[in-house]
Amino acid sequence: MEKWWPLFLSLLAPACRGYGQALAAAGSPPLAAACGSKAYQDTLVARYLDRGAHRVSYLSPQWGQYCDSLIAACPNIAYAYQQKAMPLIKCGDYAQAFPLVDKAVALDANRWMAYRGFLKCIFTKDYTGALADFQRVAKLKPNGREMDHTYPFFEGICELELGHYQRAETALAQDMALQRGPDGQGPVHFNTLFYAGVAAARLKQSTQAQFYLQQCLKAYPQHPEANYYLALTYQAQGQSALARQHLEAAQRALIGGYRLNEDNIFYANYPEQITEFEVTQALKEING
Amino acid sequence: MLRYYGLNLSLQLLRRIEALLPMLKKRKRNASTMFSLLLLSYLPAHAQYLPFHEGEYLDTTTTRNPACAKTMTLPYFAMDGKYPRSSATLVREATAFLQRGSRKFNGSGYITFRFVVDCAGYRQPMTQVLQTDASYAAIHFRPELVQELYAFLKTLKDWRMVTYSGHAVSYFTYLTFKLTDGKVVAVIP
Repeated sequence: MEKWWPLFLSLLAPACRGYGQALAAAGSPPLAAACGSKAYQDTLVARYLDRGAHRVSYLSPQWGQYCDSLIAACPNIAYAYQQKAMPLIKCGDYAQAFPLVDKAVALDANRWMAYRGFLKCIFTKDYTGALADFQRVAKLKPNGREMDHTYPFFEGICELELGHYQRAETALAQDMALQRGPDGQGPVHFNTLFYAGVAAARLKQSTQAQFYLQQCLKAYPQHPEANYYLALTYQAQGQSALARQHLEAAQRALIGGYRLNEDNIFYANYPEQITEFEVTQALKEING
Repeated sequence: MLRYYGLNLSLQLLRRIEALLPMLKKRKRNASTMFSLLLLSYLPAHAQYLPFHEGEYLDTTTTRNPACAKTMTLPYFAMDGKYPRSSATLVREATAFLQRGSRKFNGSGYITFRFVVDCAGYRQPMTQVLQTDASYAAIHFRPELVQELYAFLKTLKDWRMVTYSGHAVSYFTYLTFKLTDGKVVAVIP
């Protein structure tokens, strides 16, 4: 019986080819046209990503193969390039990852330009490049968001890391205004308050810095970085007891597993993020 | 092609000793010659890239801690395996390390070392190196710079020991040095 299978398959192959030719003759849409259809793209995404790549680890070679299959079927689906790039970025392979992200942006700037800005800001610390992306995408999608934050939030971080503290303050104030909304009553994210506090501290505005950092700690008392930077401002003012209190709070928080609380914190340290080492060093300095 | 960086170092040393042999024959083995030999053995060798199918390696030595032989190897992000220092601290330490050697470097971009930390918290010697310019295009920095950063990487001894479901595990991780005009400006992740 088994001997019949090759014969069966050899008969099936021309039959399939014949069916394909018949479809073409009947005027079925050419591939390029089909790929232009959102419904067709969604079908392929469901097939190759939802029921394919997303069912295996993204560190598995199969992940890339599913993405490649989707790209081969329709090379104009931006999501396929982003999905292929994502694990590469998390593993530090920028040479392979960024051309894919660039391709995704070229195909759908509205969706992926802010994502690329986010990657440059948080993963590769290319703050100038990130700023350019966020400023461009803000024109395409005013008041858009990326990774739960407004674009000015990331612009504020970039300006802060570039040493443009005044600009950082302005961008973070814009972020706060957007979060508060038209009625001015909306809550402000604790990390906006944290970065605004750091920017104020760099501008030597101790009172303002302490205000923002205390506000941050009201929202999230264990925030290690807010405790740490607040301690530094107290230490600069000679208030060693308060400084020690907040450094110890930061240390307890870090030992207890509290972090800056951002989704991507597992993959990359956020700017100004600290570890227990820095807190211990600061405590040593205080204790003389 | 020599597969093992450690072996290559030994051969380089042998060649240096061979070059000194005529001198040794002429002179007696006095203390100064022996001192020269010892000194030569400690001179840093240039970084050698070993291009393999899946990338370039600075070291392909595979050692295995018997205690970790049966443990899983997971990605760093599955268990908070980032090096326990802030980027600012690592930048400061790397900069100080580079300044100890008086060489000046240039070039901007990223140098990434990928490796495994075993279940006992020891960085494994097998190390892949990835290099790009500031626009993420693959390039090669001066090998001396790569070697210096690799030497710095080797000084980092506080890799975390991590557990997964109560068992110690090894993990794959990386360290990227972002360079601007030859200076380390950020360490990732």
